[in-house]
Amino acid sequence: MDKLIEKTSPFITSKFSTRRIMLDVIIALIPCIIAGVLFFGWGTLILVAVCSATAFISELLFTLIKNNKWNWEAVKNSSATDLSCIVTGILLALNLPASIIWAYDKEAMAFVPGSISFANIWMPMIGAVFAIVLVKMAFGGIGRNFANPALTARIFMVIAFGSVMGTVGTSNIIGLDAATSATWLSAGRDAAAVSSNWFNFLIGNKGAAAFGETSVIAILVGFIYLVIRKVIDPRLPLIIIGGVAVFAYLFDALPSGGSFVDMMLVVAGHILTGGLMLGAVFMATDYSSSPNTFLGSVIFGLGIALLVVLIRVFGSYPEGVSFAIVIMNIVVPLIDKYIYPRAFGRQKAVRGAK
Amino acid sequence: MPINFPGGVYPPNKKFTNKKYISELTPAAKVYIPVVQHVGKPAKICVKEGDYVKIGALLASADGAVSANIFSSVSGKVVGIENRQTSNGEVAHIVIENDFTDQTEFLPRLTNPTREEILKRIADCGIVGMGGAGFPTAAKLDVPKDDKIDTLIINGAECEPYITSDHRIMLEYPEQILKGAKYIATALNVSNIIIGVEDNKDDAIETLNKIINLKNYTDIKVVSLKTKYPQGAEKQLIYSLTKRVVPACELPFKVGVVVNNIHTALSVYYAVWEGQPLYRRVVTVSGGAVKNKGNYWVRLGTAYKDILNECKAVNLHENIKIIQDSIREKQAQIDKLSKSQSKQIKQLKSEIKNLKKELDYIKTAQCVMIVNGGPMMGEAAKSIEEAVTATTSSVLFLTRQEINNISPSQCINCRKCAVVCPMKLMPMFIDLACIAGDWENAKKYGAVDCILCGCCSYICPAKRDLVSSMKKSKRMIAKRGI
Ligand code: SF4
Ligand code: SF4
Repeated sequence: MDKLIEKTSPFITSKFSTRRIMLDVIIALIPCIIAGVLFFGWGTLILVAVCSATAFISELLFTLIKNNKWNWEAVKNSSATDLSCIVTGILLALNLPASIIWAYDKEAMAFVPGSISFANIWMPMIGAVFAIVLVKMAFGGIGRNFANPALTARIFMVIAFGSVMGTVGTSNIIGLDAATSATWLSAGRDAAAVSSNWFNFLIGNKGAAAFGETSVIAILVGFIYLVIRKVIDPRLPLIIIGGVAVFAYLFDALPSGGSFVDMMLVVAGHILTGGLMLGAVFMATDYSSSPNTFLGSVIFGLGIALLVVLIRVFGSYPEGVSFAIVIMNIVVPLIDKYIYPRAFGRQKAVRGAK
Repeated sequence: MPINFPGGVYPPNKKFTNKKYISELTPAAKVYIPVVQHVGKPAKICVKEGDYVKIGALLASADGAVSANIFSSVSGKVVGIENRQTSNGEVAHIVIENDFTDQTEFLPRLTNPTREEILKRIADCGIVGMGGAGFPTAAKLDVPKDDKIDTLIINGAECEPYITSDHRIMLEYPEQILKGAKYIATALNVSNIIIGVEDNKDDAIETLNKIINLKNYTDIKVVSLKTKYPQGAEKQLIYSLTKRVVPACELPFKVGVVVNNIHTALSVYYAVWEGQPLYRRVVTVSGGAVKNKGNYWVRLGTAYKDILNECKAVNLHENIKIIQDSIREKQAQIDKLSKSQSKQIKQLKSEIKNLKKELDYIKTAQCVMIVNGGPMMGEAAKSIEEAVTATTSSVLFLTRQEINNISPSQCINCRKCAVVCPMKLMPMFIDLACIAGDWENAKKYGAVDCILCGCCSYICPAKRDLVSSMKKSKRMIAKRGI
């Protein structure tokens, strides 16, 4: 008999692993990537590849330099192999305007939809390094980051590369009617635009500031997959979306008036456009930067919803999902500090009827 | 409403032995009986080397209220009293050499016992909680006067993977269990008995109900519980069955309930009706490394090595050697053959391939861990010399394939551990606090209330060893008096 292994119970574990969870998220993001390619051209796929590769390499290098070990074993043990950096890379790519990879037509003074140019490719690369090194690894790596790395990097890029990041991609790649070059949010948020265009709004044939947010259907497919695989708790995205519906009704639809149907169309516009869906499903549910209790999630979700609507309606910036999520990310430690569950039996004891 | 509790996990069932009839395991030539088989003080040894003892002879007597008598499980000579390693540290063991005459020394039958007689008999026979906790039953039934008990729960949940001993007992000794439960109820002076059984043991529920109808036991009710781990944990079971919440740091009698295990009820029956002290128990022997998996009556004090001898290990070093030799032989034959005999070479090559496959299989069947109890809450034995005690519901000889050997990585904050925790704690924060040595925070997030069920470690995608942190935090909080 060989030597017995000594260990604390339990001796068996579930099939969950960090890598499997991250792989599931990547699979859930595939529909969004496909939608991006369909509406904005192959360039978007290049963006995804560049961002994920940069993210992977930065994390790998970071861990190697930190441990100062340079062999195959160290590469295999690096936290980069848990694939969470790839998720960050893909999410960052999905949060970029497709135009970042399009060629710029100097005469028309506009990007050429569907074309591919590598002139600006260094921007997403810098964004990915920023996300991994400064937001994730500097704070201790997976599970320790205070805010969503992809979103923080996006905000950084909006500030640093405003002119490119501010453009809105237009899509006419798959032969549908060309969508407007402005998003619904920046073009006045009127009810008629929603009712005349609802099909395009759903499938994603519309202007989008970030190419991943374009197709509501694709995001929903990913959402359902994540819920079935038990990767995320479906309640948080639903709270955020429900919250946005309520606040949009209160702060936007009600003041602007109109018939009930019109008001509902405005509410629908708020939900179907912009980064809301993508943010609610893939960004707000980031494990480390969301609260650890259900009650905490309710506060977190409603906070995001309120900020989103306030920024959209009263702010000078047409879209506020990334800001809202990152701001609430910063509040999470506070929420977690005060809201934690009472142990079973610490509540008042219940004695059944005799 | 489903009979259920919040939290919990669904580990694979792995009940390989639920169709195996209970049989008697041939007693070993020597038994090693520890003087602590229960929670509480060690019993005081009252035999000396050279004494002749029969089955059921008192070896060590209870020291105080929370302690239990220890009995001989074979007839023969006491050959030594020695300190031996167990997973709970060093414990004095009484070593008895079996003379295989199986002479017994039992107490007289109690035909119509009163409450006091039953309580005394349970204490005399050294009955302890046999589900794993090992709390002396006499002390458990001795409820403070001002707590009124209205329900006796018999725990037949058996929610751990692999273990089937309680399941088989319910199928093979239903009448005895019900009578034992009635004795306990008499001792407690209650008339409401609930037997909780998980719904993956429908046949047991049916069997019990059949006897209840036949004998017209109107005070006993069998309730089918949802199959989920840890359904058999005391506080969770009470909640599932009565919806009463036992306050933290309190015992179940605070809510008018006493819980006893199925096997305890059976032992109480044997003590009262047959006068048998606790000298043997039903043990499930399972795991990938044993050939004759099954449920056995095992004498207390039987060493694991004797169990493995009886039930046969799958892995044998000689086997490995034989196969390796024959592979080498065949390889040599191939080398001798010239290229023209390609048909024979092919034949030999395929034989070698099959042998290698078999070798791999045998290697994977190597026993790397012996577990006393189930894989979720059991204890890993330090050596094969350790022995079966009153609380050993199963002995598992596990192979490398069956156990988790993934090293832990950083917590990803997914909060799955908090979702499955049946005590509604925050395992990831306790883990962090434990690493930081911050025992106040460990307490704030509930370390003291942890029942060590292992759901959190089971579900954790980062494979963090959360239960170790819980144990450490509990210990440190108690030590520092925080
Ligand atoms: S913290 Fe304790 S009670 Fe909760 S799941 Fe983990 S081991 Fe069980
Ligand atoms: S289950 Fe594991 S990884 Fe997830 S929060 Fe708990 S300790 Fe962290």
